[in-house]
Amino acid sequence: MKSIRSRLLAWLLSSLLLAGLLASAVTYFQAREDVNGVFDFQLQQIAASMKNRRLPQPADLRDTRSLDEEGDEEGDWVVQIWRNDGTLIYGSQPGLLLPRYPERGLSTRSWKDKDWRVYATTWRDRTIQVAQPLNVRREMAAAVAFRVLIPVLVLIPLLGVVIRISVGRALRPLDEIGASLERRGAAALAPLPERDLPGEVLPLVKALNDLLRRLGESMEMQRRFVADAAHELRTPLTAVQLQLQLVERANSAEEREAELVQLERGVQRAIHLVRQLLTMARVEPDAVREPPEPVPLEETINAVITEYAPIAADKNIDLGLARSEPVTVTGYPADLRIMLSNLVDNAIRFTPSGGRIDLRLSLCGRDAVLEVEDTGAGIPPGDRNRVFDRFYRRHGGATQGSGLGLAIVKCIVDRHGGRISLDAGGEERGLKVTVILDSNPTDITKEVR
Amino acid sequence: MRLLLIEDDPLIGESIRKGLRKDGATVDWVRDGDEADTALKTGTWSLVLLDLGLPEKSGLDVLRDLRRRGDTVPVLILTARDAVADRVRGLDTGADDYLVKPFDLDELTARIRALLRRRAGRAQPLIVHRGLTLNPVTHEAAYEGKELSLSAREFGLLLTLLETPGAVLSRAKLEERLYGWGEEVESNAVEVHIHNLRRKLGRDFIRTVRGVGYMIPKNP
Repeated sequence: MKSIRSRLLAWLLSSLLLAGLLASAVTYFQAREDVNGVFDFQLQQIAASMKNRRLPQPADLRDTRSLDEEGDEEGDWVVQIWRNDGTLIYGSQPGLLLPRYPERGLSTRSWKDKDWRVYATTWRDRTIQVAQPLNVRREMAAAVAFRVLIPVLVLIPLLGVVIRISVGRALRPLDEIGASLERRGAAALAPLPERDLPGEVLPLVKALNDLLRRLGESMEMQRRFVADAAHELRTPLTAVQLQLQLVERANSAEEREAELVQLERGVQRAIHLVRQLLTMARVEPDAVREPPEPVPLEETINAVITEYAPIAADKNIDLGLARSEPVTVTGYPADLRIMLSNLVDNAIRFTPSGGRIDLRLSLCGRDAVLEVEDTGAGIPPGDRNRVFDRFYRRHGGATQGSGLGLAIVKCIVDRHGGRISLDAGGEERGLKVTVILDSNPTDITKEVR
Repeated sequence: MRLLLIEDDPLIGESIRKGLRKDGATVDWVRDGDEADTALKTGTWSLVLLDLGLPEKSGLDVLRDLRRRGDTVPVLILTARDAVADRVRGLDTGADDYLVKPFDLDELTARIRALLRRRAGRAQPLIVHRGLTLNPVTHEAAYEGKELSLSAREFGLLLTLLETPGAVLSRAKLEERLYGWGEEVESNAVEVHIHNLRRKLGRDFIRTVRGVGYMIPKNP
């Protein structure tokens, strides 16, 4: 795990060190310039001071102690004096005798693997040459540069401690939020306090609170759904229990037979409700799912009609496809099939024997238009919005649905970003359900061609 | 005994009606709140079975209006709502008992008997009067120590007359209590049953009040 604290520490300290090094490098070069200027001037001064000096005899080259005191010991000066005929008459350090360079003035020479700064001048019949090794100057500049670095090196551990403490303090709200979240139970979804938080942490806490709120809503929805479902299951189970007791009390075989038929109806109804509840849970908007894919609606309709044709035939209802165009929508094939099945199932449930159910699929501009029209009792305009509510059942009729069919349909339509509307069927009777979905763009290009 | 069942679910309604009929009760069945209102305003029942989740008008509203009219008929609520608050609301609105779905048919009939017993001011389940013992649970009857064989209608007729000994009940009232809606009633059905009962219990057990109806006297 990368800790903000150690990362900050590493960044700050390393940049501090880098800045110190840079500063001392700059200092080094500047100091060398300055030292150069000063020493060059000194070279010239020493040469000038040699002009009036009484010199020892040329043979006496070794006896030059008196002159050495003049020169700076650290400077490592080498003073040599020649007569014009080339005879060396003086050398300040008998062990170090540089050659006589022809140029007058300042120059840099290489001699005996060392760089030398040399100044030469002519005075009367003599040539005076003063030399100094360059490394002396470099060492002095380096010493100056190092002195610049010292405070930085001292500061680094000090700053390290200060940064550690201050960053720790600044990050304390984060630690507190983490601790308070850790202590919570899974169902405790109260928002985190947003007061007195640093600006950097506030967006995180706000986002967390938003997530907690949405989680809470979703949990509440689930809880309500489970409660509703349990409540709804009581009705078919009551019927089943009573019917079972009637079977037990039947006095004759025929009576028992008749009660068993009723019992089976009751069980079928309970199964239908459970199935619808499961479907409802599956099409819930928060359910995890695969990405949508192109669905050829014509195939879906054909499959559903094939599935329901025998049931419709049993009730003597004419179920068929009245109009069909090839239309593809982007969505979830299983959901779209459930939607259509529910619509057809409803139509069959509420259409009396001898009735008719027409399905139509057409393309209207960008819209895929799907219609299911029956010749049943229909739904009065005042009730048309309420029938989409979960567990809402309309009164009347011996056929009792689960109260979930249209709620499931609505859920699927919403999920696909479509619209659904209820109207009276042809000649103002029955019910016409219209579902409008966005068709796949490929169909439109086909249409244009 | 004649009961009014107010229940919108066809399967449950049908089962309750069949089950109670087997127990000797007469059951009239209405399926929504408005129908229930009309029935309760016009007819008389020994007891009302009331579902709360009704279309058109909620069961609680039906009950409230019933009590507001001063009707004291015992009401047993049958509902899927099992929260304590729902039970309290139901009982406070004027129900006499509360049964949560799903329930057992035996429990339902036992509660119905208990309510009717309490209504008649009796503590014990057996009905005893001048040597006649009726058991509403088993439908067994005994007279002067000997077992008595009674038809379901005869049993019902005796039970009805013994609900309030000393009260005179007209022939029409008795018919209403014994037969449900849509049941064929012979014009002299009550007379035939009375005649048969007198054969089994003696002439004086049930008295005829001329021009008014029948009664079983409180004290001989």
